[in-house]
Amino acid sequence: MELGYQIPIVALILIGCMMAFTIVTTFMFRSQKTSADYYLAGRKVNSFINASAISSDYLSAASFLGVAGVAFLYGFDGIIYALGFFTGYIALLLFLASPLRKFGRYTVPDFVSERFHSRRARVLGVIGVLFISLFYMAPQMLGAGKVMGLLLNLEYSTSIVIISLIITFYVTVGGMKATTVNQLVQFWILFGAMFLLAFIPFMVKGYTYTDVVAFISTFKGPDPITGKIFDGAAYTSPAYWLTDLKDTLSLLLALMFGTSGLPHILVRFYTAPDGKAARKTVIYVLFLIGFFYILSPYVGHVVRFAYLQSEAMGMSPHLTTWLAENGKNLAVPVAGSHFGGQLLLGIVVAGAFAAILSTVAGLIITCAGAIGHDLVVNIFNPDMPERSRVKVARIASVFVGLLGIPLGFWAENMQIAVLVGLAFAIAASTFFPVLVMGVWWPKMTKGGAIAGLITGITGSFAMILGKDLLPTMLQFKNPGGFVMLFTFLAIYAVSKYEYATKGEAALPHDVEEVMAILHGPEKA
Amino acid sequence: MDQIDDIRQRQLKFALGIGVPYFAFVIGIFLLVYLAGETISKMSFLNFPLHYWLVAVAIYPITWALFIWYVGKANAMEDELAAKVEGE
Repeated sequence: MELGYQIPIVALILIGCMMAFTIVTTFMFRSQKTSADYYLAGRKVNSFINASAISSDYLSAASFLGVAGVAFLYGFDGIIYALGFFTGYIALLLFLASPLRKFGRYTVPDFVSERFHSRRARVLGVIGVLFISLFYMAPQMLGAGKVMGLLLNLEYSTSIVIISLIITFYVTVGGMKATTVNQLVQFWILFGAMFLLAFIPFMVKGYTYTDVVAFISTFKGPDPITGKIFDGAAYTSPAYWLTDLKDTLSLLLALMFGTSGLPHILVRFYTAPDGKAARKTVIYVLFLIGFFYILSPYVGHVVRFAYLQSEAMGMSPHLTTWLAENGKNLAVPVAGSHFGGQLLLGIVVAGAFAAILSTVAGLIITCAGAIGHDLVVNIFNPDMPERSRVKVARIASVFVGLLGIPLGFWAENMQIAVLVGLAFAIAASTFFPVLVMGVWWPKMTKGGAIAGLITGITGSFAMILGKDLLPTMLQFKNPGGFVMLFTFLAIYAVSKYEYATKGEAALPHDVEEVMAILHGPEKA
Repeated sequence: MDQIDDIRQRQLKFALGIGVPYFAFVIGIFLLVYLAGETISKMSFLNFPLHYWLVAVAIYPITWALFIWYVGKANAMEDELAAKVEGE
């Protein structure tokens, strides 16, 4: 009756219910007459539902399992991840949520292309969206294959194929509306699982955060499995794991500003009815993910608390060994098994499954938008009739969804940190500066936008893939924050140069109208 | 255009007026915790280490309160603007 020995029955029941609900909602909301219905749920999504869907999009398996896992492994330093992920929404709220919604297009490449009247900017935007989303999707598939395989006794390849087929089905048939409703339910399953994981040790067993941290910080003794000396004081102090300040600061900046450049998050703001609703949505998101990020580091710490006293607390040798070997990914399910037995373990497995489904669904619909709407329709056939556009959207969704299968196989031997690092680095260093400057600086030129997109994409690739060729002071674990500064500089310098040489002719002819749409009052 | 430019600048000033101190506060807390790690990890408040208070708990309610206020003000600014434009 324990994790790893047999498939948790509760998990199967919950996943079965979730699947039944998914099929019902997919068929209920499958009617899409226009591409705005397909990609953006007709732009009528209520703020609270949208916030739950955004949170579900954002809280991937990496967040659901990873934040508590990092806190379990690295103590206080793990909390920096939670802080970075949480504050990521602030820049979005302050600078982008409302203006982007007022601009009212479909995708991020739409904005760069229509703001600067440039097909080249659209193509670069599509490249950016695909890189970010696919680099983000690969670790989700890897997580799906590894974790679901372990928890449900499935082969890695079987897990990948099953998950890809399920998501491809409901995104293709149901579009954004069904995806949103499913994400709403998936969010509450994963949030409920995390809440119970914190509630049971805190309220039922009485292990307060204060007691847990106090115990760990005074513990100095052998690790129950490895026998190495564990220094609790260092574990609960800063710089136990993140020892390089320059690296940590760049990571924090990438997390803080990368969120504002993630296309699958940005696209959800186009589904809000208006700019004010977009702002309200962010506030709900801040509450939902804020509670989540307060709870998950606590769960990581309480698992460490139980692990250090595994014999006295009756943790089975099997779970203790699992924690020692797979703590980074499996601290959460082990907490479920130890504190709540088969029932809580089942809820946690369903939560992990929900986190994978919701994030991958959001990524598929975003990539489908970039391929179907930006490339096929806007670049190759702008006169395509509306009905054919919906068909193109569905074909693009099937293509991207099934692409998850080879992507999952490819990711099996990749480092998750490199893939996620690339996604956040490109998002922070490419879309964030281009969108912020495009929204707020009327004197930004087409050349500035293109220079920004090129600097962000190539700079991130060069600094991550060519890291070993760079001098030590330019080597970063995540260079997103560092490259972002160069992108801002490139946009500013090229725009200033173009304006100095061409004068007003360097600016898009309709910049005044665009600024009025972005910042003026919305028409009722 | 002048009117839109004024509005844009007013909105930007407001966003930067909140955003810059907020990000400075978050990065400042982070730097304080890392640069003065030894000292700060010995300090506690209600038996909970100060660095945990700051990074794991306090930042959340501070952010919620600040940005609820921000959204209220930003939306009110927009309503005021809409009324002004309609009046003209």
